[in-house]
Amino acid sequence: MTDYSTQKLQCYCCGKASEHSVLMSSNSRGSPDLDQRPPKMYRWTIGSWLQECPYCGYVAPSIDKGDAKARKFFESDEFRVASLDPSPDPVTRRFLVRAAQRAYQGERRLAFLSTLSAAWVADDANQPTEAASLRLRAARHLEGPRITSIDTRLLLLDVLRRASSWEAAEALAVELTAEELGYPFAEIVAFHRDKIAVRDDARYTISQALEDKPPPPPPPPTAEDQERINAIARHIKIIPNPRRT
Amino acid sequence: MASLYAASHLPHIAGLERRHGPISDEVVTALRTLIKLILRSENPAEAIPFLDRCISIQESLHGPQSIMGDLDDWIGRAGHVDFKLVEPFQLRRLAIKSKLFGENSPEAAGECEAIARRWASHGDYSRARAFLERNISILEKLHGAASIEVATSVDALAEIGARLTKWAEAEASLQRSLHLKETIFGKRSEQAGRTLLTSAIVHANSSKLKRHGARFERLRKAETAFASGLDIIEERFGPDSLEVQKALEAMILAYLDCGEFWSAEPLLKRLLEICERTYGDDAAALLWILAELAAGYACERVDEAEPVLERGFAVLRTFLDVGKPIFHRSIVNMAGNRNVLYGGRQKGVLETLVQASETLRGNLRKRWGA
Repeated sequence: MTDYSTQKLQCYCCGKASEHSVLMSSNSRGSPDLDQRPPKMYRWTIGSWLQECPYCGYVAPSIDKGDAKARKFFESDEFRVASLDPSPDPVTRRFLVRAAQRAYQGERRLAFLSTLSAAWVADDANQPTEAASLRLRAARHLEGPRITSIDTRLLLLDVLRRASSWEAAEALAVELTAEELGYPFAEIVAFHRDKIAVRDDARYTISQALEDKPPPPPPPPTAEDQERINAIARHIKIIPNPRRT
Repeated sequence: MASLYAASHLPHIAGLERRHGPISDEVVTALRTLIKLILRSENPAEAIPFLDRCISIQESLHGPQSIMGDLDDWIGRAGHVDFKLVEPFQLRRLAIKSKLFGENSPEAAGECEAIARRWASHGDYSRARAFLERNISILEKLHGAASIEVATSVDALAEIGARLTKWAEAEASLQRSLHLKETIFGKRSEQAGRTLLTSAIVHANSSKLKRHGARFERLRKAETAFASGLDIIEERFGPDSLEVQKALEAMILAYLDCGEFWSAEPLLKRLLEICERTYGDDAAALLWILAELAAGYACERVDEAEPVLERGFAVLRTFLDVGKPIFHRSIVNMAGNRNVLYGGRQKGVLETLVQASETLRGNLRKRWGA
């Protein structure tokens, strides 16, 4: 059940008040995609993830909030350029403005994520070319110093595959495979490698990638663990304490 | 009898009593010597029966004021003695001071405050409060109801309330203190600002044991008081000043102590910005802030946790690579010095970062379907 509330908010940057539809609650059912795109119904709330001041164009999750960094970006040329993005969809444009802000602030992962959200809007609008272009644009935010984060690289791997950037996707998959990531990361990378090999750029969910790949059984308990288990069992009186018998 | 000195001195004192009579200066002198010896190397509580006898004889011979020196000496060294044993002597000293200097004298007020502080150390808020209220009443007569002296004592009452976790009482005292500070120094004075900041910390702490509704109300009061207090401190010292940093840090720690990370988070981000400007982007002084942010985000916001955590470890690595890493408990005069690890009241940054990293790994596995 998704619920919205209409609220009058005062813009952090220009101080003018405007009405906005604020997401109050939503649920989701099913598995997210391999780029963490949420399942329905939450996915359909994407239009309310960012707000935009109709007077000055300030974009934020809540336009009545901000900080010195946000204000600095708002006063920059980068903001003006991003606000004039020719994208016809206002939701896409809001994500791109947000991505520009994150890039301006040097937060490349967050810039990548905002651009990826813009690609999801194109996915929902059934615009595969636009979506692929936005995915490549998202990936460009991560160029530069090597990324160590598993989470970011798994997202990037899906982004590159979905954008048919096969060489880059293959290189990243090889890099991740060499790291012995363990469950469930290794299984997801293997799934991607199979899809890259057959040049498959389709959308898949995490549960599809992990289908028939159950988590490995936990290692057998060591002698020390067994002693601990016995102690706990004694404590909860499953086994009588030998000292008391 | 546990005192070794008493065993050897009492026969000598008995002899003096026989020679000069039990109420004599000679007996007082011998008792005083015994008390001094006990104070020098034994438990001061062992001297109590001899002190009692000594001051009784002295008082009957030379009047109450003559025993002040004996009381001062013993009370001054009886800091570790159970206050229930000490209190009768301090009450006696208070009675003498009241008689000598007047019921409403500064001396009587000081003695009341000293007794109050000892009861506070003993954990008895109601007795501490009774004596501090008497102290405040005297100070009001001496200096006027709206005086610095009265405000200082009201602050002491609030501090004792907070120390003994009597949050409601501490809140009431701080309200009283704020009113006084606003009257004496002005509504936008530094003193009023500091009292508001203290009130905010007390409100946050008082939310700990409350039910959801009351807890929310206390936190809202904390937020309001903190915003007002910080506004005054910013106005007086500047937005990036050390005073503002200290205020933010104190409030952050209070929120974190109450498990209110999301109340602390905007303050952590603000302090991080100030510290980046003051100490540098990769200064070790940022580490505790990054560690707390990472720990908080790791539980709920994987997206935000990773970059903060990575930055925290990167700053830690840079710090460990410097030639002479230094640890400071105070951040005063550390502007621009990147090699100083700052740790006020925070726990170890390495432990916090590693715990955050573990939480994040667990949550990442869940996020990716495990």
